[in-house]
Amino acid sequence: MSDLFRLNNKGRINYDKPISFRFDGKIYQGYEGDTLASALMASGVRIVGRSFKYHRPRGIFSAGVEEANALVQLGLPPYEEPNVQATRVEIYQGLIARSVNAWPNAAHDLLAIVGLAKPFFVAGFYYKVFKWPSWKFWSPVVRRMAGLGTMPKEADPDDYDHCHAHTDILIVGSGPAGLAAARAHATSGKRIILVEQNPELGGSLLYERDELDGRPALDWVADVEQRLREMDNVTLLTRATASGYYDHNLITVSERLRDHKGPGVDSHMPRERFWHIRCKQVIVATGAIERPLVFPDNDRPGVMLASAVRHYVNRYAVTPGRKILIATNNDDAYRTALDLHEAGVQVAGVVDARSYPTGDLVKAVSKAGIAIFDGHVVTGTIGRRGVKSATIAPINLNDNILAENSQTISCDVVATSGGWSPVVHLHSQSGGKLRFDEKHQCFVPREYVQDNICIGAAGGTFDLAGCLRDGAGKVAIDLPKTKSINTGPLAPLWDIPTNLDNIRHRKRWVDLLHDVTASDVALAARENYASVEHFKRYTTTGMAVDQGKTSNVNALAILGQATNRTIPQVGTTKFRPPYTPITMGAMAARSAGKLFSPLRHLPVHDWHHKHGGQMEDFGGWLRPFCYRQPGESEHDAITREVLAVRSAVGILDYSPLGKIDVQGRDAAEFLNRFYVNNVKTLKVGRARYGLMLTEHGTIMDDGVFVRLAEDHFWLTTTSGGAAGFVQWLNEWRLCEWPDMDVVITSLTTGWGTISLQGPKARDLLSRLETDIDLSRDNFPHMAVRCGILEGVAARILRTSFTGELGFEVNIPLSYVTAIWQKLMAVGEDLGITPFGIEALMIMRTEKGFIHVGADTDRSSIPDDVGFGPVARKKKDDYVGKRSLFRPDAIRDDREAVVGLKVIGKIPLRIGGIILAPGHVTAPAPMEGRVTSSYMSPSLGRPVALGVIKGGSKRLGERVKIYDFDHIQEAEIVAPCFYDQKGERLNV
Amino acid sequence: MKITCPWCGERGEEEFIHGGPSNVERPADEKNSDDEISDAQWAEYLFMRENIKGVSCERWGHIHGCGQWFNMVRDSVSHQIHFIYKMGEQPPEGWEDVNE
Ligand SMILES: [Zn+2]
Repeated sequence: MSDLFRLNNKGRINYDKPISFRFDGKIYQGYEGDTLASALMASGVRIVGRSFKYHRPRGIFSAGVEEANALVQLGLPPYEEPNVQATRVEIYQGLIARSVNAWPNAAHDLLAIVGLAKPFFVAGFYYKVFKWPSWKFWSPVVRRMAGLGTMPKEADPDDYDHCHAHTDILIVGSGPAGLAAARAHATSGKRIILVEQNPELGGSLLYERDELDGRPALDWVADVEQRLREMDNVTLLTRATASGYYDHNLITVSERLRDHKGPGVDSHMPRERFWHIRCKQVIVATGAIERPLVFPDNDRPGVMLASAVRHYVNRYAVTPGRKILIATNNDDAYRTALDLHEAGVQVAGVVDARSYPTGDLVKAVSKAGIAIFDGHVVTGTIGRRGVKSATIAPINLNDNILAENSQTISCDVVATSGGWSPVVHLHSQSGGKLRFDEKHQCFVPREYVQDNICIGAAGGTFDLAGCLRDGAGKVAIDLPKTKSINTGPLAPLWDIPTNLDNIRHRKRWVDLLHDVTASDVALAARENYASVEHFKRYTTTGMAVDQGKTSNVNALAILGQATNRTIPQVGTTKFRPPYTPITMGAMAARSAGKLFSPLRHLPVHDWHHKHGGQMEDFGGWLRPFCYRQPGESEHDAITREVLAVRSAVGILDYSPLGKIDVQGRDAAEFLNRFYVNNVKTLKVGRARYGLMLTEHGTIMDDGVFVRLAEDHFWLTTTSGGAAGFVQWLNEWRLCEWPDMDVVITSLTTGWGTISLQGPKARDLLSRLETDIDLSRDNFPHMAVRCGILEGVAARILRTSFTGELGFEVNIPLSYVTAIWQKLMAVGEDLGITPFGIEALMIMRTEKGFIHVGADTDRSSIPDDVGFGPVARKKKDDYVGKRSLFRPDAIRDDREAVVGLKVIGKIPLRIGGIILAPGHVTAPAPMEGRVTSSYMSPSLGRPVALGVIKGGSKRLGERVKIYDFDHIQEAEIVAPCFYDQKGERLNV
Repeated sequence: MKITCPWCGERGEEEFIHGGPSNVERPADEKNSDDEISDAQWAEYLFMRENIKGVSCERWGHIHGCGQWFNMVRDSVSHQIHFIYKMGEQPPEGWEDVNE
C-alpha cells in the first residue's frame, strides 16, 4: 500500500530507513529523504486538503515553497504548527499531520456544502455580501466555513535563538549558479556564507537529470560541497531560508535545526536560529519558480506543475499518476515527458499551445514515440475526486480562439507549465527594480540599489551553462562541461479563450490557495480595481501562505488583458519579507515568556515576598501592592497600612523612584531651563517640588529637585519617567547647549530609597546611628541632608507623598536590605508597618497630590494641575514655556484637576464620565472624568480626583457622574481632603 | 542600517535613535523675551518639518551605546549615509548635491 506509486529508480531516498507517520488519522509509511508530500503521493493519497473558501478537494501541486494546496496542521499540542506546506516537511518517525479546512478529513469533507454558496465568495466578498447586518455578525460564520489551519492554543515549548554574523559575501541558493559562485569566490580567502533552504545542496540539480563533465550533475555538487566544507572561510547553512533583505545589506535567515527530527528531539538545542547577517556583497541565486497554465477546472487533484512531476519522479522516486498528460507553452515541460518515459510511466501526450515547436527536447520526445498535440490547449478536466481525463482543443493563438473539435484524453495527472518566474523577492526587497523580459515572459532584475547581484535563473539566465557562467562571474575557474540544448521560444498564454459554450462558466483558478479565479480577476477589473495594489487586496490574490508564488504573474497578465494593458504597464506589487513563513518564536527568540518584558526587582524583593507582599508589575518593577498578614483580606491589609502611617509610622521601598545627579558650573542655569519652577533661587540644602514640560508645554514628569551644593543637584522623577528624562536632558545638553558645563548621571538603580512616613518617622530614624541632625528646627520639611547613617553614606530628603512627616532615605543599593532590616527591628515598638503602592495611592489622593499619568495625560499643562501661576510667573525661558501662551493653552475651558466630594458612600469608578450640567444620565456631553478614586480609611468616606472643564472655577458645583452602571453625584471641591492646612507635615 | 558613531565606530541601527532634522533652530534661544516670538514662528519651530525625500541632515543619538549625539547626511530613500559629523560642526560643502 505504502509503495503503490514508488518507482524503481533510486532517487534521493534511503530505502533502508522506513518511517511511519500519520495523516488524517491513518498510518502511512515513507522513507528517509521523503517529504510529507512525496510519502503521501507514494501511498496514493490524492486529496490532501480542502480549498480556502469553497472546500474543493485539492491535491499536491508542487514540490517546494510554492505549494498552494497541500497545507497541513503539523504535530500535536504543544508542538502544533498550522498551515505547513507538506512539500517542505521532511518526514520523521511518528509524524502526525492533518489536513486543514476540512471536517472530518480532507477525503470526506462535510463542509464542502459551502461550495454551493459560491456566489457569496466572489472578489471583494468581504466588502459586498456581509454588509448587512454587519461584518461582526457574519465573521464568526465565515471564519468557521472558510480559512485554513487552527491557531495553537498552548505555549510553544521550544527555544529559539537570534544569531548575528558578518560576512564578505552571502550567497543565497546552492543551485548550479550559487555553487559556481561559492567555488569561484572561496579561494579568494573572503568570508563566505552560503545558505540553502533545502536539506541538501544542489537546487534544481537535485531533480533534473542534467550531466556535468559527462557525469551526473550531483557528482559535481558533491565535489564542490566537499571542497567548500574543507575551507575555513566558508560557512554552509542548510535548511536555512533567507527571508528578508533590509537596508545596508542586512539579510535575515531562518535556519531550522531540528524540525526534521521531530518534536521534542534534541530539545537541548534551539529549534531555529534566526540569523541577522550583515554582508559586504549579496549574491542572489534563488532560481525560478514555474507558473501553471490557467484552464477550466485546473484545481482538481492531479493538476500539477510540470517541473514538480519530474521533481517527484527523479528525486523522490515516486510518480503522481499512471498516465500523465503534459500541458505547456514552452520547451521546458518536455523534460517531464522524457523523465517519465525514462522512469517507465506512461505519458498520455504533450499538449503544446505552440504550432510546430522545434526545440531539441521536442525532437527527443517525438523520437520516444510520445504523442505531441501541438497547437492545442487543455480546455478542462473531469473527475470528482481527481483528474480522470482531460479535454483538449486546437487553439489559434493569433486570434485567441478555440476550435470546436475537442477531444478527451484519459489521464490521471495534468502536468502544466506556463513558463518560469525568477525568484526576485530578495532583489525587490533590497529596493532593486524589475523589468519585464519579453522573451521569457517574466520579471527580471533591472537596477540594483544595494551591493547585490542576481545570478542564474534568479537573474533571468535559464540554461545550465549560463547559470554556471553567471556564478563564476569574472573569476576564472574551470567550469564543468554541459550539453548544449537548442530551445524554441515560449508562447505567452495566460488564460484560455472562452469562445466555447461548454467551458465558459467553468472556474479557471488563478490563486489556488485563496480560491481566486480568472472571473474574479475580470470582475475586479470591471469594478475598477485596476491598480495592482488595489486589485491584490480586493481579490486577496497572492496574500495567502504561499504569497502568490505561482499565481501573481498569471493574475497580473489576466488583469492586463481585462484592462487592455501590457504586463509591464500593470506592474507588480511590492515583494515584502518574509519570503516564506517564519515562526513567531524565531522572531521573538529569547524575548519570550518571562523575558518578553523582564520585570525589575526591588533591592529588598525577597523580604517583601516573605512578608506577604503582593508583588505586581508597576511600570516594569515588581512592587508590593500591599502586605497581607495571615487571614487578612487585601482590603483589610490596605486599611491597616494606611491607618498605621496616619497614626504611627510606615515604611515603603521607594527604590524605583527616578534619581538623577547633576553637577557642574552651569548645573543651576541648565536645570532652570527644564523646570517651571525657579531652580537658581533654590538654597543649598533645600528641596522643591517641580514640573518638567515638553516643548509643547505639556507635563512630561514631576518630582522633587534638591540642591546639595552650589554646583550639585539631585533630581527625583517618577519611576516610569526616569530613563526618558535622563535621555531628554542629555539630548538638550549635547545638541542645543553643548558649551554648558554639566554632567548628568542616572543613579536610579545605583541608590535605593527607603521612605519612612508617619508621625513617628523621626522617632524611628533617630534610633539609627547618624551624624545628621534630624530635629524639627534643623531639618525642616522640603530640606535635604547628607551624612552617615549606620556607617553608610546617605542622602536624606524630608518630603512627603502621604501628607505625614516623611523622610526619604537614599543609600547605595547594596546597603538597602541591611538598613531596612535594622529599621524593622528597632521600630517594632513604634508600630512600624510596611506599606504598599495601594496605600500610598490612597494617601496621596486623600491629600490631592497628583499622580502624573493618572491625573494628567499627554495634553495636560501646568494650569491643569494648579501650577499655572508658578509656570507663567517665571521670568527665565524654559523648555515648553512659550507653548503656554498659545491660544489653546490660555482658553478658560481647559480640563483641570479638581477634588470630587462624593455624595453617598460608594466610591466613584475611575474613568467615570462627568456629565454636562442639566443632564441627569448618558448620553450627554462630557465635561470631564474621574482620574483617581478610593475609599478613604482615614476619613471613612470616598475621595476622588478628576478633571473637569473650567477646573477650580467651578468649586461648589454639583455634577452627575456616569460609569456605565450607575449615576452618582459629587460636589466639586479643592483637591485636598485630609489636613488641608498641611500641619501634619511640619511636626 | 549600519551607522558609524563618531566615538564608537560602526554599529547596528538598533543602538540609535533618530532625532529629526538637525537644522531646526529654537527661536527662544535667540531672543529672551517671549512676546517677541509670534505664535506663527513658534508653531513653525514646533510642528513644521520638511519631511525630505532624498538627502537630508539629521541628528541621531547613540543612546544604547556611548550616549552621544551627532549629525548625519542621509538619503531618506536609499538609506545611504553620506556623511557623519559631530554636533556643532557643519556638513561638508556641497552636501545637498551628493547624489548628483
Ligand atoms: Zn557611540
